[in-house]
Amino acid sequence: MAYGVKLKVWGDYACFTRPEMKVERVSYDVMTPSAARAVLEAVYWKPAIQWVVDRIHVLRPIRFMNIRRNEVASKIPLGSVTAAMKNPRSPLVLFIEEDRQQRAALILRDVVYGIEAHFNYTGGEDRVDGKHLDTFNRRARDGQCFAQPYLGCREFSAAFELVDEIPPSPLKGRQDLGWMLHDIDFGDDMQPRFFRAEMVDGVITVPRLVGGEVRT
Amino acid sequence: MILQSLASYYDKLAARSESGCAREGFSREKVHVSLVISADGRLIQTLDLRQQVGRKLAPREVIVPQGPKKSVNIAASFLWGNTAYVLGADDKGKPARTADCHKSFVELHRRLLGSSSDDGARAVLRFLDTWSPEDAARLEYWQDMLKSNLVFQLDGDTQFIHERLAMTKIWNARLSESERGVAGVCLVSGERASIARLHPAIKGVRDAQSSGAAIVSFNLDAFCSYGKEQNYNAPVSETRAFAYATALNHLLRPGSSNRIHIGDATTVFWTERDSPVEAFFGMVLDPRDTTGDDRELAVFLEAIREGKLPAEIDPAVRFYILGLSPNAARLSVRFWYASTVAEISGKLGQHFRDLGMVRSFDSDPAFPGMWHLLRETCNRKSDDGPAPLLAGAVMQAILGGTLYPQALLSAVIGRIRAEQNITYLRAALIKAVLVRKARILGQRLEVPMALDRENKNVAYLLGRLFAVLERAQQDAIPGANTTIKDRFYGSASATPRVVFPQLLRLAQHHIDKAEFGRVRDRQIEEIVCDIREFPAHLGLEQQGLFAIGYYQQRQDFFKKNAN
Repeated sequence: MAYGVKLKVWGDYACFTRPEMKVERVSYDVMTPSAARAVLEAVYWKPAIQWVVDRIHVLRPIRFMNIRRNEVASKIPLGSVTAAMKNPRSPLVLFIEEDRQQRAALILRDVVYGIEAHFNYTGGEDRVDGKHLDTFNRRARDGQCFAQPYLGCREFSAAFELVDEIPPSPLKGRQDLGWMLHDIDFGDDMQPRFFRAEMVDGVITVPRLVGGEVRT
Repeated sequence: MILQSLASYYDKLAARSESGCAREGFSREKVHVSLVISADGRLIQTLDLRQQVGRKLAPREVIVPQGPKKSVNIAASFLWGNTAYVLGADDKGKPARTADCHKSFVELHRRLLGSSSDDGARAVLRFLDTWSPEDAARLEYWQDMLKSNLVFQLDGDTQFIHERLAMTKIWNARLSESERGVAGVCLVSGERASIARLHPAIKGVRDAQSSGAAIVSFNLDAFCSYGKEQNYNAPVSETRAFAYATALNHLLRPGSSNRIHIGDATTVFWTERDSPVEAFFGMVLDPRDTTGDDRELAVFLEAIREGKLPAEIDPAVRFYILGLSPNAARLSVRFWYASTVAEISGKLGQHFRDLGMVRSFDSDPAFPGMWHLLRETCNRKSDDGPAPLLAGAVMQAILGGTLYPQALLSAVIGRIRAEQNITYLRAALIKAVLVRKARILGQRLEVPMALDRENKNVAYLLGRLFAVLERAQQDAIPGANTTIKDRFYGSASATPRVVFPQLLRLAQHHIDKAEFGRVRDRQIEEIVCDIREFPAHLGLEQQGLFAIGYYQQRQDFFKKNAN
C-alpha cells in the first residue's frame, strides 16, 4: 500500500534458526523476513491484512554466543490428546527425565533491528488503509501487543518502539549472507522460500515473494 | 553460510585431482582385507591391506562406491562391505541377521552384475554362488578379519575389482537412474533439485559416534516441523549434500593439517583459495607435532607479531574456521568465523603481542601454542587436562579479539599458589589477560615485558620486593632446602600487610650475614621508597601483577649472573 510502518526492535538474545541446523541451533547472522513479520503480527494483525517486510536494518554489530539447554525429545502423540479429551482420567504427560535431549545453540547477542514494512489485503473486506495504519501506529506507540513479540524463538523476547526514521547503522560495506529463508509458504504444503540476502551498509532489502528473486 | 562454504571448498578440491577427494557416488572408507579370487570364483588368498602407521597397523583408505547410510537397517554396498555382508559370518551373535545381510549382498550383486561380461563381475558372481558362510571360520587369520571391511581383487590384477572400468560404469549408471526423491529448492545452491532425505555421515570428530555423526539431522520427533520427516525439514539437494559432507570429511581425515582439537571441540579451517596460511594456522595454535624448526612458519609468526604479513601471502583470501562439538549422533556448531587472512593474522598477532614476556630458558617457546598455555592451568599430576569450556573460551577470545575468560586468570593464579612456582608461560598468560582487559575496558595499566624499574604499581613493586628478599636469603644461606617463597608466597601475594614487615625484619639478618648484603639492602631501599603503605589485601588481578613482578625481577638476577 502507499504507506509503510517503521518499527525498531531490540533484545538481549535472538535466534533466527537456520533450517538446516535446527536441532543444534545455529542462527542466521541477521533477522529473517519471517521473524520480522512475526513481530509485526504480534503488535497488530487481522485476517484481512498481510504484512510484507520491505527492509531490515541491522543496528548493532553481529555477535554470537553459545548456550546448551535441556529439552524434550518427543512430541505428545495426537492419540493421547484425543484420548484425554474423551476421558479426563487418561494420562497426558511427558516426563523430561525419561525424554531428555541436550541441545546446543549458537545464538545472537545484543541485537537491535529496524523493520520497514507495509501491508496488503488478503481479500475484499475491510479495505480501509487509514484504519489499519492508525491502529498499528497507536498500538506500537503505546506498547500494546497481542502476544509478546520475540526474536526468532519465543524465549527471546523483544522490546519494540515506533520510530519516524530508522537510525543509521554502524555496519559498513557489502556483505553477502548467502541464501536466507524468506518465509514459509503456508498455502503450498509448507514449502520454504529462499532469497539471496545481501547486506549493504547494514540494510537488507527483502524482495517480493512472487517474482524471480525468491526461489520456490 | 557454513554449508555453502563447505560446498564451494569441495568444488575447489574436486577440480584438483590430486587432493584424493571422492567424486559423487563414491566415498573414502577404511578397508582392512582384500579377497583375492580367481576367474572361476575360488578364493585364493586373503590379503592384509593394512599399513604401518607409527607403531600400529592402520587400515588403508580406499575410494569405494558409496554405501547407503546404515544405522539399524540392512543395506548392502557394491563390491565392498564388512564380513557379515560379504562372507555371511561374524561374531555378533545374531546368525539370522547375518544371514539376511549376506542374502541382500548376494541379491544386489546378482541384480547389478548379472548382465555384465566383465571378468571381474563374473568372478564375483561365481564366488558368491559357491561360497557358503561356514567356510569363513576355516579361513586363515579369520580371528583377525572379524571386524574388518573387505574388498575384492582378481587374481593377477593390482587394482581392486570395484576400480575396474566396467564396474565404475555400472555404478555410475545406477546412480543416475536411482529413484529421484522429492524435488524442492536447495538452500545451499538456490536451485531446484532432488532433495536428499539423509545426508552422508561426518566422521572424524573426536568423541562423536564412531560410525559418523550429522550436522543436519532430525533423528527425533521433537525436531521435525510441519509434518516433514528427516532431512526434508531442511531441503538440501543431493549433490550439495554430498559436496559439503565430503568436504568436511576430507578436512577431518586423520593426519589432516586442517584440523585441531581445542578442548572438546574439533576445529577445522580452510581458505577459499590456496594459501600457505592454511598450513600454518594449525601449527600456530597447536605446535605439538612440530619442532618449530620450520623456517617459513617462524618468518610468518614474527611478521604477524609485528602486525604485518609476509609479502607472498595474499591478505584478502577468505579464511573460514568451524568449531564442531559432538553430542552423541549429532554435531553442534561451537563457533563459526568467516573472515580474511589479514584479519585472522591480525588477531593472532595481537594474541602473541599480549603474551610477550621475557623468557627464562632458551627452550621456552617464543610463540606458545594453545596446549602449552592451557597445560599451565591444570595440575600436572592429575590426568584430567584443562577444562574443555576454558579451552573453547580461550580460542574464541583469540579469534574474536575479545577478553580472555576470567577463569583463565584464576586458574593460573591458583596453580601458582598451589605449586609456588611461576614459569614463563604462567607469567605470559597473566600478562595477556591483564593487558587485554585494560585495553578493551579503557583502563590504564602498564604491564611490561621485562623488568621495568620505573613501574610504580604497588602489586608489581611488592612482587619485585619479594624476589629481592628471597635473593637475600639465598645469598645468606646458600643451599637451603626451603626459602621464603615456599613458606610465604601465598600469604605475601594475598595479604602483604601481614607478611612483609616480618619478611623485612628477617631480611636484615640475611643482609648482615651475606657477603654483599649491602647490594641487596640498596635494592630493597630502591623498591620500598616507592611503596607508601603495604595494602591489607590484594585482589586477583593484583596478585597477577605480583607474580609478574616477582618473575621479572628474578629473570633480571639471572641475566646479571650470566653476564
